[in-house]
Amino acid sequence: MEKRELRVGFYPTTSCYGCQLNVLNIEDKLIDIFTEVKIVCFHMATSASKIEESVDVAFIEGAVVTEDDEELVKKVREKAKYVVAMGTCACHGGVQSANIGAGFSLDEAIKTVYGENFQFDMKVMPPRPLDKVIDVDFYLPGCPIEKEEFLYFLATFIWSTWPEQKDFPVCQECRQKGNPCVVIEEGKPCLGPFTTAGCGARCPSLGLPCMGCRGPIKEIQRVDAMAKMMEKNGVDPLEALKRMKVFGGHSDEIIEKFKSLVRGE
Amino acid sequence: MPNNNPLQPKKAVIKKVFKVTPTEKMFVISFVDPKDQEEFERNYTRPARFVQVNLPGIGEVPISLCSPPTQKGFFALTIRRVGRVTTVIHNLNEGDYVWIRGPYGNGFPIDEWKGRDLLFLSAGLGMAPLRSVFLYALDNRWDYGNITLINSARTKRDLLYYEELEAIARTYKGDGVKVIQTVTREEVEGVCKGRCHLYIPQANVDPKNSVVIMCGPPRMYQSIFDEVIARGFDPDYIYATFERRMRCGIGKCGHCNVGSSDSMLYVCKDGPVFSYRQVQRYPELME
Ligand SMILES: Cc1cc2nc3c(=O)[nH]c(=O)nc-3n(C[C@H](O)[C@H](O)[C@H](O)COP(=O)(O)OP(=O)(O)OC[C@H]3O[C@@H](n4cnc5c(N)ncnc54)[C@H](O)[C@@H]3O)c2cc1C
Ligand code: FES
Repeated sequence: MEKRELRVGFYPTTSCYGCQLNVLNIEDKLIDIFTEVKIVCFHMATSASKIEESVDVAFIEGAVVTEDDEELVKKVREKAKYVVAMGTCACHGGVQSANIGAGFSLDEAIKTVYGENFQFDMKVMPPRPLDKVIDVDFYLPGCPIEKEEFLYFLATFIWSTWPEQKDFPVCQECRQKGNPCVVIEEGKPCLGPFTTAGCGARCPSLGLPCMGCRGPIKEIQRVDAMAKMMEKNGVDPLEALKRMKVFGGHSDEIIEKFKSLVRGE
Repeated sequence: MPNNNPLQPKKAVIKKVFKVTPTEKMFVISFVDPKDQEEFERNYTRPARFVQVNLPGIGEVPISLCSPPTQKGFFALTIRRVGRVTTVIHNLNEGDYVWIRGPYGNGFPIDEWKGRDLLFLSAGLGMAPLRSVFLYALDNRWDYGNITLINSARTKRDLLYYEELEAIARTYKGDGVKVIQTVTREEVEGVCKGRCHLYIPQANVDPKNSVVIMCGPPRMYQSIFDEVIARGFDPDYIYATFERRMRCGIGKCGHCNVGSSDSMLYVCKDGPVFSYRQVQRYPELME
């Protein structure tokens, strides 16, 4: 089959740059990546980056916080065939959105972090995930993203198709690994039942409860049964769900839906 | 060590690609390892079973076999370009590799039909699996009575295997084989106009001693069931194929099941061919 050269760009907004770093960390595949695709823009990797040029796939990392961020992502959207929200900040707002919701005040937040009378030389706004600003075609969640999943996304674009989005919870991958359940065995408040799979159940495999870093699942599956299971094992599912805000700051609606299912409403 | 894993895809090579319609291509494929080809042929005895076509890293799709079991050394698939995986398959050329699991599914119980007339009714892509049954019946012509095939699509360009079926009709003229091709959305020369069931009265089959074989969108089935039964066709000899989203193809994962837990059917294993009696028992098949 003939393959076209795929033009790819990486664009950062407000974030820790960890997802881009994770791309550069795929060391054993980097040469393959750079021979298969044309990197048009990747400031972290090359100074020969051009924001203005059109691309087939734009990977955008980070939440939209400043005016510059907003301007950048709008510009990228115009020039890109597909936009991929890369990382949990871009998909769900990320850690910086943790307090977003009722009672959130940007001024308060700035005062708490930077003290009184701090002067910014840019305009800041409450952090937003990418799809509150521009149309997003695909979501690649993770804090940071999974290397394997990134390669899968890239491979599908190279083969002129598109990736299948995961619509099942972490529990599925956890069971596939044959892990003992950390809720049942240890009574830990695991967010696995509510969180999008893709990490290979990394934390529960190490005996840690899932933090929900990949954001809430889109389709609600058996949440009521899961909640009952948690309660039986001494975990309050409502308490567990509060932790979902850490990475899913903008997912109040779905978290509320989970909660109503948990309460049996 | 012999590999007995029923889910193991086997490497196969695309021998030939034909453009059948603007959205469908036919791929002629054979296994790279002759042993795999032999095993496939041993298992492909009833026509219209299906295979899972696997592209590593991209995905897997169930596709019906459109070549009959009587053709050896290769098999053929007709694939419509609809989405994620089929788009990649459409970009493949002769010499490219695909990975195949199967054949799966039950296929049509063609041995039980010996001595009967056959009436094929197809709409759109339904002609792909029916091609394998039709060609099988022609290859075993002496086993069956008269045969009529009604192939329908929206426009003449969308009619699957138009030329091939016309050629067959010419070859078998005077031998009790009739082909009617009809389109619903346009009036053009060389084909009839209207849905396939309008042409059932023109079929040269004896309702009392016939088999009705249909494939198309399930929406069309009910009106055809009603029509053929009203015309005196034997309800025990009416068959249709049904599709469901599938994953494993061997009745393990439960993606394709219909019915309730005390009487369950797996479309991948117990189907995709179902009799009219089964459809009556499992009306959700028609959804
Ligand atoms: C037993 C069986 C036999 C089939 N035979 C053929 C055949 O001979 N030729 C052919 O072109 N297609 C056939 N199909 C349909 C084919 O499997 C789907 O078109 C294919 O899975 C779509 O995959 P995709 O990744 O390209 O599309 P996706 O991107 O996954 O989806 C695109 C569209 O196709 C629909 N779709 C996805 N999977 C299926 C499915 N399993 N069945 C029906 N619709 C689906 C989706 O709802 C969506 O609208 C058959 C399906 C079954 C179950
Ligand atoms: S596809 Fe797995 S059970 Fe039918």
